[in-house]
Amino acid sequence: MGMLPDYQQAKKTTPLLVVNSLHKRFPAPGSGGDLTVLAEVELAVHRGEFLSIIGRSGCGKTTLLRCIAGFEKPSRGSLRIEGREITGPGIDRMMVFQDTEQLFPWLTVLGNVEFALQAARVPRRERRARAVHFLEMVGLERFLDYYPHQLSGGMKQRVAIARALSVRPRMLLMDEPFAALDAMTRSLLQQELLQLWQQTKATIIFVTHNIQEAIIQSDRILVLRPLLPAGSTGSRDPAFIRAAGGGAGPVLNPGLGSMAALIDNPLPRPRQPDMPGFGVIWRQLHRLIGLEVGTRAGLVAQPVAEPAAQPVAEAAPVST
Amino acid sequence: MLPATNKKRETEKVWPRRRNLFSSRLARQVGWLLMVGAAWEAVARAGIYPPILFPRLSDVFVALLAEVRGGEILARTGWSLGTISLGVALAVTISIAAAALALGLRPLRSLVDALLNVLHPLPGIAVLPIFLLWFGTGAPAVLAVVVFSCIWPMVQNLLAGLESVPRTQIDAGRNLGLGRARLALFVLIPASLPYALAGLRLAWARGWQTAVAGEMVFGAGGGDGGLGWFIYKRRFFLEIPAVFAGMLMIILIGILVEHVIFGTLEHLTVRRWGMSRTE
Amino acid sequence: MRLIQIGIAGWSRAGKSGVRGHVASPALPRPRLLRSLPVLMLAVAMALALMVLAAPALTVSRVLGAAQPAEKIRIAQQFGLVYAPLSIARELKIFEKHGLQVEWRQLGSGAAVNEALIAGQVDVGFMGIPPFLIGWDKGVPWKVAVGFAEVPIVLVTYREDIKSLADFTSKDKIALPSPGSVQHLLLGMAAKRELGNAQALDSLLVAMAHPDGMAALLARRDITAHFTTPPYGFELLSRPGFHAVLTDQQAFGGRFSFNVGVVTQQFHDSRPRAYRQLVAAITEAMNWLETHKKEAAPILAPEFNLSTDKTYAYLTWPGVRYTVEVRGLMKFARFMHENGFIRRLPASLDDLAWENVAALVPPGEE
Repeated sequence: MGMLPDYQQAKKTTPLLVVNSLHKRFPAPGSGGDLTVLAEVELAVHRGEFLSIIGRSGCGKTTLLRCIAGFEKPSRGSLRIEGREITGPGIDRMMVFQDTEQLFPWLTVLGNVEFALQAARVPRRERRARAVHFLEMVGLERFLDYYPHQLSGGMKQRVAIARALSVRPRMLLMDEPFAALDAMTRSLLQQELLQLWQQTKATIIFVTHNIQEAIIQSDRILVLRPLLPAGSTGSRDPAFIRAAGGGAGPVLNPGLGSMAALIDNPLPRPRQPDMPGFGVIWRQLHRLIGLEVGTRAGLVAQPVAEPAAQPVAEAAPVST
Repeated sequence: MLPATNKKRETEKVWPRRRNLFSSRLARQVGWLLMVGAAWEAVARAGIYPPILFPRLSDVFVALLAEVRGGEILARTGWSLGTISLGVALAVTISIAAAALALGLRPLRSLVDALLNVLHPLPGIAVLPIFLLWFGTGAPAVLAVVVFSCIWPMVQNLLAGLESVPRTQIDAGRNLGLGRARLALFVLIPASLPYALAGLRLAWARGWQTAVAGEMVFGAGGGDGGLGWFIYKRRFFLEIPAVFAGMLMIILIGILVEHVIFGTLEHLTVRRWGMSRTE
Repeated sequence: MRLIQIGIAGWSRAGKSGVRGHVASPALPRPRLLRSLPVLMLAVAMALALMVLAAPALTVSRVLGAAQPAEKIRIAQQFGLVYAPLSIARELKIFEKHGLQVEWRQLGSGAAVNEALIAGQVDVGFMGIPPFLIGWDKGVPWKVAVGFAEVPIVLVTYREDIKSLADFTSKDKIALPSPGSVQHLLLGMAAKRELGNAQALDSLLVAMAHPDGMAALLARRDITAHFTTPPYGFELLSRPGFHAVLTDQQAFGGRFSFNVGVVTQQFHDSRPRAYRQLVAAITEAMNWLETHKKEAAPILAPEFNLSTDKTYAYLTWPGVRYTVEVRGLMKFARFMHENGFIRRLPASLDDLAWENVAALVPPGEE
């Protein structure tokens, strides 16, 4: 009934991104000790996949994304893109930030995209045409000569997306790019992003705290959870690790790492909140994120294993 | 005349419609100045004060014209502008080097901070007597004192500017694979430009004040000096209208630099980019 | 006219918005402000003018006007060898003897003395003839009342290669107290004679107070010469390696009053008695000092911060004379007029000096 996500085919080849046993610690302010933000992250992302990372604030979503982008170095473990270790930021992993100040205010809309193309060593004569092409894709062809401060927040984020896509990165890393926007703009941009994703066959890792956004957009959803304060590195569960590579169905991580679950989202596209099955996944995610309120034991004791494929006719839950 | 216009105003509610002479800020300021000038002229003409203490404004303009025609005031202005420009340019160069070093090497940062804290509050004019001994009278002392006065506000603003660059813009630059040099050139410098411009403005003002004051109080420029020396000399010959003419020249230069040079610079850059900190 | 009309309309509306309710629009305060602005400007300007006009009624009239029977006079107090007669008069209470009560005003520089006289804040000031002439040229109503002192002035250098004014190059700098000072004019006179142009050395001038100039010269840096008065000239010449390039006698071609006592028309005309007493007191102080240098030295030594011997040596230095005779007034005037330092040429001594001075000018030295 639905079309098979591209990544289902891609899965058969080697993954684009492989995250192995990733730990990230920061020096805790004041105490002199370390604060572990990420532990035991195991992940494989395939070409063309749309992966969302969701979780409550402070659970390390952005840190994981920044590790992939190369802004942060892992304290332990490794990140590989096409087999090569990630050692720093690179133009092959373009980040779209939540902050609308990410555009350079001294460059025009066109200038911002052209600057990225220059950094990507695109020959001068090709830059303009390519920049215009990507700005057309986000519907800003009439605003080429505007400066960022003359644009609305939504338009700025569109420019940022165009800028990121224009250099044809291997993956697009998006850190709650629509969080600062109003609900209507946000929903519009979600649809546009999905169109762009399908047009460009980009690989997208998308951090959000909005469950509905995650379900509508992504092929898979990684749920992160805050770590316990001390001695938090638990044993690794081989079953989970296997599943994290792209197994079917939601998988729970009984260990103590950052990953609460990595679930598949088989809903056919285009997705609406009132479609069958949506509510099941929504509740599942809601519980996974909400479970963290309770004891850690609760997670192990009540594994959520509601089959997602089973259609459930019900009213769509109101999104967060 | 009122009823018709007022009815219209009620319905259209457009106050800018009444664009009389006083609706622009410039016109209003000029209006004020004309009024004050007229008051001055009236007082001077009333003849209560000896003209030598309180010359007529018209005499001041006559003196200015005469000095301009005679050429001396222009030569002195040129000297001042040249010396101060050179001083500011040197100060900017040193400041950029200092800011770059402070940013690049952590221990140097605290050194720069320490110097800044100790020396910034010291007015340039206060170190002039020492500079006169070290560098001698004339251009070297004036130059030194201008550099001294300009460096601190410049460094302070440059550092503040670099620190104010949004984290996201730096990340966006790094994301594009820019190295340190290109990141500094293409991201840090333009992003901190509003502060740099503010610093430059402040540096110019301080340099100008210090140079003129130094020449007036200490005769630091010597016989070859600038506008300060011009005023100093005219004062001793009791040519009070010419003293006022010298001040007028300082004001004119100030307006020119502030509004034409810095104003244009801002309009071409930070104002256009929506990065302006003023307004 | 139109402006005023608009303005009045604005004011009236501001005041009577209730009465003319259909006209007033409280949501639009701005046009009202704009309309009243010209009036406001005019009002402020007029208030400003009135304030400035009223001020002299309070100060200047009190200062210059009322002739008070009690002969109080205000004298600008200055220190230095040149002003020794003032110190003597004060110590020996000579002013009091002549029925004067002196209010001393401490002033920092010669220019400040001139300005205080012009503004009517002191009654008598002592200054060089050139600054006096500059003021007279500009119409300051003042004249010379008395001569004061003659002192040797020397242009001292440490540069052995500088023997005359022609040896100065554009890299040299000559320190003197201020433009328009006696030193400046003497240099101009010498430059006129030796170099053909009174302003030939003006671009080398640096204005420095005597102690600063001496320190700069002793440092043997960029200041190559210092045109100065006693005791600085004495001090410099007493050291090895310093020599005089020019003396006041060479420059002027004769004797002249280094300082003269100057009194404003206001004081002279409105307080004739005080004027006579002042001249008499100064004359007595000068005469006493000139004839009692031995006794004067211990009185003056603490003020100069010198030993009594040194003070005596300075007081008796060749060329130092305390005399009420006035010399060189017209000669300075003619030179300054010829060379563009002043625009008016006094017709006679009477233009420059009060009636008592004619008797004080030795023949041929006016």
